[in-house]
Formats: sequence, C-alpha cells, structure tokens
Amino acid sequence: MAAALEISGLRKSYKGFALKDVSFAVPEGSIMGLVGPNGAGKTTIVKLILNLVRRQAGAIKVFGLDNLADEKAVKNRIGFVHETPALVEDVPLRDIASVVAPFYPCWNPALFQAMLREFELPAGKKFKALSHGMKMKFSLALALSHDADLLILDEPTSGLDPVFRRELLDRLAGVIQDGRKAVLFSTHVTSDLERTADYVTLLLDGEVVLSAPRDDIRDKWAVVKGGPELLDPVRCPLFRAVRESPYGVEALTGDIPASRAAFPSAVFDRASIEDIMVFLHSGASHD
Amino acid sequence: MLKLVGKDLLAARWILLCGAAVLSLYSLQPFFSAGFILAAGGALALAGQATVFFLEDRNKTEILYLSLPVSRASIVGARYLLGAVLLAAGGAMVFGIIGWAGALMHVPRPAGGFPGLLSIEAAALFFPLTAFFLSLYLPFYHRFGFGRGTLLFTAAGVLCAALGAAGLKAALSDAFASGGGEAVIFGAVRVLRLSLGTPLFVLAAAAAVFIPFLVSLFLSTRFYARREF
Repeated sequence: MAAALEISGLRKSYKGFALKDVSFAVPEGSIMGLVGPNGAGKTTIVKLILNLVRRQAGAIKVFGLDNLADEKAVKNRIGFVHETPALVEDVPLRDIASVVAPFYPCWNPALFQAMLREFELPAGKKFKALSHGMKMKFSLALALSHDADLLILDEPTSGLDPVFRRELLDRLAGVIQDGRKAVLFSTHVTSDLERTADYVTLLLDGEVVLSAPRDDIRDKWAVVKGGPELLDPVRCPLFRAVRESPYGVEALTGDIPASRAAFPSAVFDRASIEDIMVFLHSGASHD
Repeated sequence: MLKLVGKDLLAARWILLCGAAVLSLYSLQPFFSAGFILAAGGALALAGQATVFFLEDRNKTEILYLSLPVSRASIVGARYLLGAVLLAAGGAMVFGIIGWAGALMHVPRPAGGFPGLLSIEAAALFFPLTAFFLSLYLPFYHRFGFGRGTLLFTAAGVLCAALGAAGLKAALSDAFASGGGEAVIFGAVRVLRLSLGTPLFVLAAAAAVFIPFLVSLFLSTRFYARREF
C-alpha cells in the first residue's frame, strides 16, 4: 500500500528535548494515531510536517513529495486542525471561509455549506462566540472542504465532551472510506486510538518505541501478571517492562507465545495502548 | 499575496477605519499644523501595520496561515504589500481627504515657512519617511515577533529620529537658530527641490521610498525563513 506520509530519520533538538531518528509511515486509506505523554514530541512532528519548525536531519514525504522542496503542493493536500483552533476572532464564519477558500484550488463551497449544516454552525456567527467544541468543528469543516488527502489533527479531542469526541472520531473514520485519504492524529488520550486508529505510533521522550497496526498490537502485546517468578533474570528479557507492587508482579510483553511458554502459570491480559504507554513510559524494569 | 493582504484587512478593518475617521476629524481643525498632519498620517500607517500584527499575535492565527499552501516568502511579501497599501492609504488621507477638504473649507494652518500640505515637498517628506519607518519595523517583526520586535523597533525608531534631527541641526544650525524645526525641515526640502529640479527631485523621493523597502524586504525574508513556531 502506498504511503500518504512517510517520515524517516527525523531529528530535531531543543534545549532539554530531542526527536531522535523518528521514522514511521501512514499508508493511504488509514488512520494513524500518534500517541505519547505530554512532551513526547507529537506536536513537534506535526510542526515539522507543516514546516513550522526546521528539521535537522531526515526526510518527510507526503504522497511522495518532499515537504520542503514541494511545500506548496504538499500543503495543498493537507488539512490541518490545531489543538486550540485559532482563527480571526471578531469575524463571522462565512468571512473566515471566504478568506481561506481562495488558497485552495479544490475548495468545495457546497461541501463547506453542507458541513456547516451538519455541524450546526451558523455561518453568520462570529468565531469568538463559538464554544471550544464548535471551534473544533469549524476547523474540521475548513480542513475537509478543500478535499484534503491527508488530514493532520494535533490533539483534536482534548477538551471535547464525550458526545462530540465520538462524533469527531466517527467522522475521521468516514474520511478514509475512499481508500485514498489518510489521517494522522496526535493524542495522549489512548481510548481515542482504541476506537479509531488503524495504526499506532507510540512516542516516548522523542523516540518511536512502537509503530505497528493496531490489530498487531492487540494480538502480540499482553500484560503478564504473576508472582516473583516473573523477575527471573534468565526469562526476564521476554519482557519490555516489569512493575512490582505489594500484590505481585506485572510485566509487559510483546511476544505472547514465548512468554506463555516461559511462564505457563502466569495470567495474560491483552495490553491496551494505555498499558503499553504507561509501562514503557515508567521505564519500569525489575530493579 | 493579495489574498493574504485581504485577510489582514478583514481582521483589522474596524480598527483601521476608526483610526482613519478619528484622524480625519481631528486634522480638519485649524490649530494642527501641516507637519503634525503629515506625522499623524505616517503614524496611522505604522499603527495600522502594528494593529494587524497585534491581532495576529493575539488570535494566534500565524500557525493557520503557515499551514495554508503559501510559502513563507509569500507571507513576508504580503506584509510588505500591506505596508504599501497602508502607506498609500495614509497618503490618501493626508493629501486627499485632509488636504483637499481643508483647502475646500479654507481651514487655516500655522504656516511657519511651510509651502502647504498640498505640495510636492510635503509628499516628498511623507512618503519616504513613512516608508523608512515601515521598512525599519518589518525586519524587527520578522526576526523577533510582535512583542519584542515592536519594542526594539520603537527604540530603533526613536534613535533614528534623534540622530536625524541632530544631523539636520548640525548641518543647518543657522536656520535652526532663526526658525522652528518644522519650518527648517520643509525649507531644506524646498532647497533640495530647487537645486535638483522637480523631475529629479521626485525621482529621488521615489528612490527614497523603494530602496529601504527593498533592503528591508530582503532582510525580512531571510529572518522569517529561519523563524520557528
């Protein structure tokens, strides 16, 4: 399957933080969830794709085009929704759209109007009068109305109520139905990914620690629960992280069959993305 | 670039119109000298540009505009185009509305040796000086952003104005001793016009508008290409 977005060897350093050789790909017709705790580097990656910050190494290709050399063509195919939608506050929605529309040759006014109706957004209302959820809806309407092939959403669900959160995620699933478009959305809310994402990339401290189809993660990763035998130094390398508590030992494995063979008496629970993130982030290993 | 200018004018339309209306009403009063009106027109153009940047900073819209399919160079170019539009609008205010309406209504002005608001000398002062300050502001803005850029520009602007006044005073000390500063400046411009001849004088004034603008555009484009958001 061709890649809508391909990132390889991406590096960017700030004081006290660095993205280290970040590589992953978002296939066409899929939704990729970029997940990680706050400060993991999700927003930096989004900014690098949009050339809001300058990369120090690596390559970013959007539908085969370099995001710097072909910046205009690349941005023409991207729809971007920011975590806190920021548009001209004191202007009616229809005027904001009339400012944005001329930049996109594929702008579809009928689709935009239809989305305003679907999202129940009054075109004459000023942007500043909208709630956060409505602002997010409006940003999404703008991003979708120019027929973007790659939708990039930076923490789109933060601050949204559960009803609209569900609506938004369903809408994203609808975007990729033609098999040509793709969605990359960053979040630290892992339940969003369980529901929507086809692929998951987990970032920790600027590094990709996991990038795989969500179904693979579901099939291969588990939380192993047992007693002190899980701390056995010979068999312990099967685990990516281990956590001790007064009630026993828990470990994270990415190889269920081998772990089952090594610890037949242990209890195996499927690992959620949150489990994986928490285990790997805490860096817990048996001390 | 016109599309980018359009969104700035849309964002700041009411503030700009209010500023223009206030300036028009105040400047039609007889006790304001032509020099004051020229300075106020220039300040209006500068304030207009700063207002657009302020709104962009307050609303945090720059990231949205940078995500549109436009290059950073186009965004910088559009800001210069906006500067040119504001310069032209300030000129239209000063020489069109205030100058023309004032003349029609026979509004008397303190003269002080000044040839009048509707003169080539006045235009040759207004456009290059306003363009100079706009040209000074924009690289600071593109290098440091709105807050620090505006502060640094203000300091640099005051310094340039003080140096300019000191230079003029040193060059024309006799004239300064005998007349007010405003009259001396206009007098000097008149002498320049007479010595160069009108066509060459107009050409020199046009060059004084465009050369700083172009140098400034070059610097701003370089600065903005390196900015991170």
